[in-house]
Amino acid sequence: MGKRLAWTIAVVFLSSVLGLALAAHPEAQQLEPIKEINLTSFPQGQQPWVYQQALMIAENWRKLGLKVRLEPLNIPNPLIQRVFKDKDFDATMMEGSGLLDRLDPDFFLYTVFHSSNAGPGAWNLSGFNDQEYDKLAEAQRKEYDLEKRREIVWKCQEVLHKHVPWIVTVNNNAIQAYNQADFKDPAISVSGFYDAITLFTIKPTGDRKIFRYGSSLSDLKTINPLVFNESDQFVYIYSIYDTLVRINPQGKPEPWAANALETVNERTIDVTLRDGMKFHDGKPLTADDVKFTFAYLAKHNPVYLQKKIECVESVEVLSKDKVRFRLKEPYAPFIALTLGLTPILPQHIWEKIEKPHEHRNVPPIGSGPFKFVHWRETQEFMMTKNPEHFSPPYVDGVLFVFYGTAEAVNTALIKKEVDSETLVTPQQVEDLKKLSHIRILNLPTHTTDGVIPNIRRKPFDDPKFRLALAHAAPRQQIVEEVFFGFAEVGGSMIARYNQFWHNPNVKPYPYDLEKAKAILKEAGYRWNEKGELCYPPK
Amino acid sequence: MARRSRLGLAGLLMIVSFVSIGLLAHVIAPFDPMERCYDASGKLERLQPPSSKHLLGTTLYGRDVFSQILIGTRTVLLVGFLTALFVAVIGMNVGLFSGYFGGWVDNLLMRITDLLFGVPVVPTSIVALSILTRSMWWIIFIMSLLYWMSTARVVRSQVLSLRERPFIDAARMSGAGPLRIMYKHIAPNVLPQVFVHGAFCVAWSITTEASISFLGFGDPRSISWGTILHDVFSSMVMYKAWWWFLPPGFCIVLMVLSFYLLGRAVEELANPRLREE
Amino acid sequence: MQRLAMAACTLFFLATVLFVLFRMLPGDPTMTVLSSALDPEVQKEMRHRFGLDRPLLEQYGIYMKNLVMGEFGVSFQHGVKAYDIIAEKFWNTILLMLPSLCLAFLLGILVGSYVAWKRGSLLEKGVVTGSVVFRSAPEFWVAIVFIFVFAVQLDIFPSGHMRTPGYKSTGTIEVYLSLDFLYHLALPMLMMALYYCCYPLLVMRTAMLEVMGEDFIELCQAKGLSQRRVIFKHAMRASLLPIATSVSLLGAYATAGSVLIETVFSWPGLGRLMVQSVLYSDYPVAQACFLLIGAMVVLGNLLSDLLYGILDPRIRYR
Repeated sequence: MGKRLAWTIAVVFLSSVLGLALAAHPEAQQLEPIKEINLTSFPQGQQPWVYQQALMIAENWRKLGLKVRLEPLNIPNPLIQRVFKDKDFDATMMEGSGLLDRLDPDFFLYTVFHSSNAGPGAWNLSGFNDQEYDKLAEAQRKEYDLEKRREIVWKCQEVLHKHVPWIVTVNNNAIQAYNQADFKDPAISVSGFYDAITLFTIKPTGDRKIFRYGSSLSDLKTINPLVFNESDQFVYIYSIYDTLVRINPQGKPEPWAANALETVNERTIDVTLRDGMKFHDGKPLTADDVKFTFAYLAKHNPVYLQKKIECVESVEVLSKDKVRFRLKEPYAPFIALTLGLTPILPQHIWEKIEKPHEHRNVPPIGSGPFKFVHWRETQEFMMTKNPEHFSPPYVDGVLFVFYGTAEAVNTALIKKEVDSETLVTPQQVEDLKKLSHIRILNLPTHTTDGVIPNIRRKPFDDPKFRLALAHAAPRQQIVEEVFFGFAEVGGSMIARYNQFWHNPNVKPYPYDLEKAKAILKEAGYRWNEKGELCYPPK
Repeated sequence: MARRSRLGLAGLLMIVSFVSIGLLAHVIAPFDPMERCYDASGKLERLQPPSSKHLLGTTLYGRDVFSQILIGTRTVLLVGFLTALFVAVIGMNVGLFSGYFGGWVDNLLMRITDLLFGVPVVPTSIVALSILTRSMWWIIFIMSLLYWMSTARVVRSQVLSLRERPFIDAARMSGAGPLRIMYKHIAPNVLPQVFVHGAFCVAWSITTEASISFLGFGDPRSISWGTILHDVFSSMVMYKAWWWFLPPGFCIVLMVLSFYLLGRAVEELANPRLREE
Repeated sequence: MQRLAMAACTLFFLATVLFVLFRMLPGDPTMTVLSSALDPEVQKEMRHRFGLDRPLLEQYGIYMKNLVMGEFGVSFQHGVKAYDIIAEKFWNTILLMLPSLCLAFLLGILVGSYVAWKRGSLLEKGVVTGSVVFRSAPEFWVAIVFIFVFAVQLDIFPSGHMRTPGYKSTGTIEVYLSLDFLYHLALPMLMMALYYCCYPLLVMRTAMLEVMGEDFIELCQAKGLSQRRVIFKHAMRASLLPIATSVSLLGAYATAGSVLIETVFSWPGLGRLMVQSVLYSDYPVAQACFLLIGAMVVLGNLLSDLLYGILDPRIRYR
């Protein structure tokens, strides 16, 4: 009996000692290393600055003990399929281009982060799903009062900053160059020379009155407002066609073809047209054309404009120059986006066209400040000043010359064969600086680069993990090494450039690997003997 | 020694040196090929011409070109050897079956061969790669599928003549099955030709892989001389950085030349009738 | 005409392979436009417009029928008929390749025969070595080096493109006959000629050496004909066969190589169009380019076979 007792005590004693020993060394428990992260990106050949950022991000994540596999995907195929449609990635590098229609914060706040947009094909790539945020994003959409809307927009940015569904790295600058010996004073908006407004405002200084625009396209793909879909086509479309409202270089909507707007109630807006507007073929532009435009576009699914007009429920003609828009629901971006980007089509031409997507639309007849002259495919596209326009341009005309590559435009600018170059690359700036007749504009933009974690997958579903990663992005290094200094460290989803909407209290996260590790440790993550980062033990 | 054999030996020596470089690349390379290099003051060493620190200069993002070429040697050799291996296996087998069995087998296989001769390799590869994933394995696979035909034809004509030889009759008489005859008796005799075409295949596949990678369809995760050329071409500063685009091309020339010379030398050895006047 | 049937078969095979590749493997061809192709409604519309919503077999039937009629479909990127886009580029490629190959053959034949004449000399050894080394270099790299030397460093020629952009041309013929066009054609033509002449050069040399060693020539010499006449008349005729067959082979090879050379020279031809349309997943255009290139290669091989059949004296007298 004594022996048995002694044995029992010994066993209990030993097991408790063992248990204590194990408890005292939690690392000795089974640690589950985080499996390899699949980081997708645009490829080197198409967007080298995004790819180089991906390399640097992957490097830094490895320093945290993560295993990263960098997978470049071609755009459009298969990147759009994998990343946008199937959402099949662990994390992806992304660039939210700073387009004219994205100055309104609705895109970067609602389209990209509202939970309803997380389905296949939509922009909420991370799968961010936060009820509080959803309510805020919906609210900013419906608030017509600018100050009140701004407050909500600021709050949205703070919530996003806390949850990090998009690790912002930098905001790229757009470098533009033009011939300052012969031209001056272009009003430059965020899209640089892609925005028609530069052509409306540029003034000739000497005898030469035709502005030669160097295009890196090998050809304009289309001049059909229902078919165009890329920002480099904006400048052609919006020179020839008028919109009711125009987004000015600071990002604020201004009256254009409309000279008065009246918000009757939150779903009804009355628009008064200017007097005496005519199409290039001499026929007058009336409220009927406006009504026709919206009805026609709604019927025929225009590629780019579809999204812009879907908020419109109906358009009613109140008088010869007054139109009433009824919206499906209150939608604050209506004025900037729908009225600002929908070209007014001449009813007497388009009502006869049954298959608009196949219509070549040459010559394009609009009412804009420029009239179409000719289009020699793969060579040039010519427009001339429309002197009867209510705001005629200062130049006599614009000749777009197609060079096919950015390099060729650069050479042409240097040789004085053209007067402008959009999207100058940092490599080219050195050579251009040496030339006195060229003026280089280094413009901050609201293009937002970064890494989007897939919140549907572990460990990205942990906000602390994402926060740690946010401290592991070498932003300043990216600005200097990838962008040659032509970018800005980014913090908020609404870039600093977008002054009215940007929340200055949302500051970029510092690059601090030690802090990142501290955050991980505090959240329970551990490193095993091999240095691999492991999930918090259960 | 005949001139051709001397050249062949020279080729062999070059190949051996490349292989050793390839095996030792990670040891010899002064920098990691993807490492961005900084000078003493912490500035990125972007687009530097050759110096004592960077023997072949640096790329647009400050990476050492010399290290990239060394690491690229491994990829290039691997692609070349594997493609040649697959081509040899496919080509030899097709040639054996076609030549030995004759009849409808021969007809069918030769029609397929003719069909594939008409397929342009680089355009087909880029189309296929844009739909599949761009990986080195797919490149090897596609190249092999499009290049085995000349080996097959050569093997087939050899088999046709060997088939009627007495020793084959003897084997058949002693009850050996066709497979046994093909692989045990005929195959060893066609091996020299297969090897010759294998050497040419390595040369061809190196150039073809470089072309495919140059156009932007190469494996983004590995470095080959073709991907280096793609990087320099897409950097838009190509003509300012001669140290970046000349060396990979020179290496390709040397490698292709060595395999070509080796192949010709072995061809002459295997077929004494080909001796040059 | 068994060969003709074979050629047709190859084309059919190519077209089918293309169809399979594009339709059945992963990758949705409507994913070309970021903002709009994602909306399920727009996607449905696009699929319907491009006929992608019909059963696969029906699509195949339509595809084949269209091909035969020369209807290549509508470009995803440009929204216009693929045929229109390709037509002009096709001629640009032809206008580059034909003169270059002609020059290549001229050079190859002349130099090859001259070098065979000077058999054993240092010149011969040098030229042969040079050809072999030159051929070992990848063509796109040689093109880059040429541009670097002649256009960038020496500034003799332009560094690419087919004509000075912004060039005003009054008509199609005038475009191609202008000095500007020739100025831009010079460097790629020179490069292609030098690169591709190596093959006919070596073929010519080998053929001539063989002929030169025959008793036939000795007999002619015995008859008292001048040596030179003998060589150039009889030997040339005998080497006609291998040269003729190599013409079409080289043509086929060069067509496939146009993909690379046009990219380096930014020459707006079929090859460069193909690379760009594949990169941007513009499948109708990529398909059409590929088929056209494939057809040219197949035609080249077919011509080669036919010429061989016609010119080979042994076959002729069968």
